[in-house]
Amino acid sequence: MGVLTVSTKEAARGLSRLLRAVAAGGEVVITARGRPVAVLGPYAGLRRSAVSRLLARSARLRGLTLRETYTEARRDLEKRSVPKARS
Amino acid sequence: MSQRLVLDASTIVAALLPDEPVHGAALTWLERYAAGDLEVLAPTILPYELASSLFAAERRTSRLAPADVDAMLTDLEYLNIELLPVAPTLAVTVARRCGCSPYDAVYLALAEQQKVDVVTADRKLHAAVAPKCRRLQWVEDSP
Repeated sequence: MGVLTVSTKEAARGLSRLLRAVAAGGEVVITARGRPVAVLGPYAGLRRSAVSRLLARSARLRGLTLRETYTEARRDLEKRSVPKARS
Repeated sequence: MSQRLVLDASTIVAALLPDEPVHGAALTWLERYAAGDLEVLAPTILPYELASSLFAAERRTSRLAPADVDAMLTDLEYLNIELLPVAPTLAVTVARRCGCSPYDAVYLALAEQQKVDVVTADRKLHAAVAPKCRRLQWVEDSP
């Protein structure tokens, strides 16, 4: 399925049809006053590319473990908020 | 239908830490979610726990710039993990029963409410709470 180009008015009127086109593997370009302004595309690809970008950046976290990140953040929070058990 | 479960903040953070001992197991959960093979839920506290973990990392290493943290938090939002509220009274009830903090209990309470398991990479939490909460699963135990 290819790229479908529609005007803002067509997009607003036929959103369900456009979503079906996206579900079938297509992409939709939406124009305003003749110029392309937005793309309607599949969500699954967005999630996968977000994961890829996260993993690429995670190289910058080399040398760190949960202890210096998650556990430390929790410690910061809990040392102020969890009272000692009553005796 | 794909499996539905709660991933806690430690699991998601571990998936982003190449040198964390349970990184590989945590990454497998995240990749299964990316592939659409898993439905992930979390309590509404999750994004703030991820933010404070990455902020702690930013303070620890100069390799991680503020712009990297912002970009990672945006990408974590793009994951669109389904965030659900948990009543504070329920969190406290579970905290009393399981002997953990209300912050941990929020995840356990959500898992009980939704009748799904919760995966953690927090070794201390798992050791302390797993005997009292059968829904708590260790990150390295495959489903």
